[in-house]
Formats: sequence, C-alpha cells, structure tokens
Amino acid sequence: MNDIETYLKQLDYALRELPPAKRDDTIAEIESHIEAGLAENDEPAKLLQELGPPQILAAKLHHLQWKHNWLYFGLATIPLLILDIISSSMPYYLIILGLPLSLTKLFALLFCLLLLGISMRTKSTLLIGWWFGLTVMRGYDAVFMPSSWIYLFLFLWIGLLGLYGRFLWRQRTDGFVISLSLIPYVWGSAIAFVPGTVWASDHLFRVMLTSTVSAVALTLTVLAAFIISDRKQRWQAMLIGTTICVAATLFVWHGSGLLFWLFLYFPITAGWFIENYDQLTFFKQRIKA
Amino acid sequence: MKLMQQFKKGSTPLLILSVLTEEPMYGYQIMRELEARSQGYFSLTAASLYPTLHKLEADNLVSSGWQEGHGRRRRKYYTITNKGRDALADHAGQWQEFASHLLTIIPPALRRAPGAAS
Repeated sequence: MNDIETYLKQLDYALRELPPAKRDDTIAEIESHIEAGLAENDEPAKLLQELGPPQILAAKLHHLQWKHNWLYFGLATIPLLILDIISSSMPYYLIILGLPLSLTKLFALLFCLLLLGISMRTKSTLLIGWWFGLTVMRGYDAVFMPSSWIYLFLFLWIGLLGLYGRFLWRQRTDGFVISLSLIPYVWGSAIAFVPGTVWASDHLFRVMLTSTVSAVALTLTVLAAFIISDRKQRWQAMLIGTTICVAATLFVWHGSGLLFWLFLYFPITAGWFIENYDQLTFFKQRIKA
Repeated sequence: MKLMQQFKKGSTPLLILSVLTEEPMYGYQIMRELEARSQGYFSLTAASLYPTLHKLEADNLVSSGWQEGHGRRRRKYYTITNKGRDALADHAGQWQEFASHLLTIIPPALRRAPGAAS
C-alpha cells in the first residue's frame, strides 16, 4: 500500500464520526485533490504534507459534529444515573453501602442535567431507544417493581435493542458516543463501592474489584476503538476488551444483576460491530458468492 | 511575521470568495489560482483550504457539486452564492476601511509600496 492509500485510509478512519454520506464525499474530495496535484506533477509527499496529518485535517473538518456528539455523550449517561439513584436510595442499599454512594451519583446527575440543559438545542431523537430501554432494564432491578415483570421487560428490551441497532446501523456514529457515556458510569460505580469495602464483606470486595476491572477494560476498549487505525487490530482489541468486561461481570453478578450488566455491554459490541461494517459487508458478499 | 500570519488567516474566507467570483472552481484550482493572482504572496495550504470551504458551505456562502473535469476526472466545484457575494462585498469593504484608517495613523515615511522587500 502506498503513502496516498495509507493517508486516505487513515483519514477515512479519522472521519468515522461523520454521517456516511458526508464522510464518503469528503474522502472523494481529498482523493480528487491529490489526483489534481499529481496531474500537475506535484510530488505525492508534498501534497500529503500540505494536507497535514489526517487526524488534524479530520478534526478541522468535523469540529461541529464533535461538539454535538459530546452533548449526546452527556445525554446518554443520565438515565443510568437517575435509575441508580432510585435503586440506591432504597433502604436496603442505603444500609449496605451508606450515604456516599447516593451522594456520588447525585453530583453526577446534577452535572448531567446541566449538560442536558445545554443539549436541548440538539433535539436528537436517536437516543430515545437507549433511554427507554435502560429505564426499563434498570427499573425492574429496583425494589419497587415486581420480579414477575422481568420476562415482559426482557421481551420489550429485545425489541428496543432491535430498534436501537437499526438507528446505529443507519447512523454509524452514536455507538461510540454511547460507549463513551458508559465510562463515567462504570468508574462512578467502581468508586462508589469503595466506602462499602471499608467494613468489607467478601461480596462487596468482589463487587468493587469487578467494577474496577470492568471500568478499566471498558475505558481501554473504547480508547482502542478510537486510537487503533488498523481494522484487524482494532477488531481484536475490542473483542478482548468486551470479553474481559463480560468475564468480570460473570465473576460477581448473577440473576437480574447479571442480565443488566451483560446488556450494559451491548453498546460496546454495537459500536464494534458498526465500526467493522465494511468488513462485515465484505463477508456477506463472499457468502453470497 | 506572526502579525502577517494572523492577517492572512483572517482573510482566508475573503480570498476564497474573491477567487470564486469569476467562475466555479475545485479546491486544488482555487489554491493555484490564488497563488498565481497574488504572485505567490498568498498561498493557502490544503489543510486550511478545505475546512474553510466546508465552513463557507455550511454558512451558505458557497455551494458545491460534483462535475466531470478534464480527462473525465470528477471534481467538486464550488460556486459563490448570492449570499456569498453580499458577504464578500461587506468583508471587502471592512478590509478597505480598516486599511485606509490604518494608513492615516502610520507616518508616511514608514509606508512602503506593495511588493517592496522587507
């Protein structure tokens, strides 16, 4: 692969947050610019130098898009935190974990509400499935909901995942935003469990350990998705990260808690899946052939 | 030197809109045309050209479309819009006003003709 192909590939990856049509158009334009320069006998190295590093060019080309995505990131965190406050305010959890847990989540909620206020202007409907699905899923985990409703909500959840997946498939952008939104949540959980372990029961210590491992693995997984430009390596890194998250979950959670945590990792898988959309299309074509 | 860089950076939209007043052009053509007209004084890099073009398009000051260029290569041509022409007139007026006021302050002995060596 020559330098120009490598450059265009890196630019394509750096522009992945743009809607597909805009991304394809921008790549075609830069490719056309290079072609025009080569036709005028410009040196390829000079042309690439003038364009600057692909990551910087991409950042300049879609800085507005980024601004919106960071607002979505704030939005996506809110339902998790609201429901955590509801469930952690129940007498059982207050006795077990104490007030600091609720206060930590309360401050996080206030921060996210501030972001929500700012993001009202974006009028995005993309995250509705995510919000509603999580509300249902987390809601049944709270004490106020009868356990017999679990099965009904599971069916609803699967349906909502389908709708949500369709959104992501069409947009190819929000998977990462939502994956990002999970980072403060999982770190919040990991930190919130620390006070409980002071008078540690063995179970709480395991919960804290698992939450921390999950938080580290999730953070690294999402970072890997952003940083690694080689598709195969990115695929492997995200697969390893997701496996660690799921393994950590299996280590400590069971019953409804296990289901919740497993579904929590859906966005990572979705983001990973969408990121490799082109490769999957390639496989589908080969199967058809 | 820094001052000149800032001036040039601030005038990039004005330069692009000016070049586009005569005919639609694609990115590479805009760069070379600007260089030729200013005899190399203004030289945009592709790294600053395309983000500025996209910003101008987002502000409806230019429009774009793909066309067959020379040798059947497809090129994305940019055309200045009516809003762009109004903005250019306004922008150019502001620059002229700024320059004329600046010249009233700078002592005549310190002024030099355009193109003179620094």
